[in-house]
Amino acid sequence: MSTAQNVEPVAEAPRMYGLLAEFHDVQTLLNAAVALRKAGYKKWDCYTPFPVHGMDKAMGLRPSILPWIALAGAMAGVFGILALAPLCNAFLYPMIFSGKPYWGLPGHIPMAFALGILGGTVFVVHGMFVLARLPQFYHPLFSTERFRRVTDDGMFIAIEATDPSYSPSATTQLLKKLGAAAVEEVRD
Amino acid sequence: MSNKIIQLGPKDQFYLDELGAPIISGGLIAGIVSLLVAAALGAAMHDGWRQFLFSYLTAWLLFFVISASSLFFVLGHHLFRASWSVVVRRLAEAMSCNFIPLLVLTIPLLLGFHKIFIWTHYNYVHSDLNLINKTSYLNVPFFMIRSVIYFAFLIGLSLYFRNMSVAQDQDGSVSRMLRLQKHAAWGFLAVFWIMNFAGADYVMSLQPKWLSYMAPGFFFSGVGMAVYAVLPLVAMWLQRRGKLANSITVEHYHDLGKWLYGWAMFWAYLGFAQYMLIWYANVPKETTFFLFRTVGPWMYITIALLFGHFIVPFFGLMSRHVKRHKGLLAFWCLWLLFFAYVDLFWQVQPLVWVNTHAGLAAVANNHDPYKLLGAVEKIVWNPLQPMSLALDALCLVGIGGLWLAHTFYLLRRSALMPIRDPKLAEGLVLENM
Repeated sequence: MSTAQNVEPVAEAPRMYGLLAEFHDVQTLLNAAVALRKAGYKKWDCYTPFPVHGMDKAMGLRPSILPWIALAGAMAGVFGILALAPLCNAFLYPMIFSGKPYWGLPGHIPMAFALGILGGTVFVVHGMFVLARLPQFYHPLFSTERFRRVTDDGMFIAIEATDPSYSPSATTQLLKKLGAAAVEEVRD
Repeated sequence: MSNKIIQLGPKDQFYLDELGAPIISGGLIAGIVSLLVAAALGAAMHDGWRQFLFSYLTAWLLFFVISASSLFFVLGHHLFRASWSVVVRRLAEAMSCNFIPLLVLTIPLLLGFHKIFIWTHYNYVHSDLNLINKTSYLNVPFFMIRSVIYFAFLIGLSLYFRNMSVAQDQDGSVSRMLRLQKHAAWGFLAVFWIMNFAGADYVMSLQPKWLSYMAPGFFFSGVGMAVYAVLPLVAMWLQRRGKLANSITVEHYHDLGKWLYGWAMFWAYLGFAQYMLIWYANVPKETTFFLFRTVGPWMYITIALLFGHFIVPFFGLMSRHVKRHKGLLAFWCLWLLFFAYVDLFWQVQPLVWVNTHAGLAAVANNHDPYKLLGAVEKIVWNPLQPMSLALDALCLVGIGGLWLAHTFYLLRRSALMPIRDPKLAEGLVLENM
């Protein structure tokens, strides 16, 4: 009997994802976010069960480009239909409707309005999904028991190990100094 | 959830005190002098006061609707239990309590009633079956009864809401707020319907043969927008002089800017809906509305309105960065305030000469459309002559000065903010996401 058959496939060692720090109140979280931004961390994020006012500024997030995506979608809808409707009505299949000119702009405005709204909403919803990288079926943070409370009362900061400023001991020290109630390592 | 800490500053920040005195006396003097000069100019025009009456009506309507719209804002605040608007509510309350001076200012309009409203002429009404059928609604006694009802409700509601709010400054009673919220429910609907009927009575009936279900709403949305331009401007003026310095923040300006934008767009929506239905049906008694507003010089004003009231602000005021920038917001407030007046001017003034004997004869005897257009163009030029525009400006300064003086008189008599409103703390720390 060959012993080789008994060898179990060696489980790949869990990859280090980073550090997860739990906070108990919003103000400490905001101060920690400011401190982390000033310390030069780049790959980190805050997780809270509710929107926190002032978090964008604390984390130094730039305004989302989502409004521009919505505007592009709305304009595409408006000008698309303002091109398509006359093309059909006035050139490809010229037809007289209730004595109006072939190219009757007022008659096309309701369509432009509707398509503008449709284009804007479709782009804003899909753009939101793309920008937020959704749908996402798995995230390394789901592997810790502690993180489950993020949908209830847990407030967290997670720093990824791939961050250039990351070091297991120094970052842990920093997070503790910033008022983290608990810091744990997250493995993928 | 907000973590802001607001330092409100010293107590005198919340009282207008001596700062209001020059506005009150200046507004009074400017108002009375302008109205007297306007009356002299109107008499000197030898047109039977016609242009003066219409200029006066336009200016009066502007401030009537601004007052009604600020009452609408106060009622909406209570109805929706808003907290963000607490900091500017007292300013809106003071602006809404102008109906008694406005009622006094209707005296010239009542004296010229027969000249302004063509449907008061027996011969004119009895020349047209449609108008005969309308007489059950459109007759002088019923018009006056309706006006009395409008003013009774507007005066009663505005005084009740302001007095309760001022009384709350003393006792901080929550029950007052609850009572106001209860009455806001019917009051909001009442003011909405009053403004719809007032629009039909005061503006639409200038052209009594015309039909449009959209017209009263169009009138209220376009001119009512002005209050969301006036509120930020008054707030900025106060803040530059150290009043309410820390209470009204960029977040409140942002929200007021949203309202301004929303009302401007709602005007465009109703205006286009009205235009498209009239264009589509192409019925003569409806299209005359646009006939008088698209011949000759009025075509340029119509296009200026389309761009100035809709397309340019649509892109200019869209961004949140514009609404959050005080200087840019002030620019757009002035811009839209100007176009609110142009909109009202466009609704009222083409009709100054249309319903005179000369005007009616010119329209009636021309069956050739090109001659008709020529005849109409001659009539609608008159309100755009320099003298007529000077009268418009004088009436605007006149009624506006008196309106401003009375508003600041009321502002001076109480705190500039509901200082003991239960929702004030929530309103102060407002943050837009």
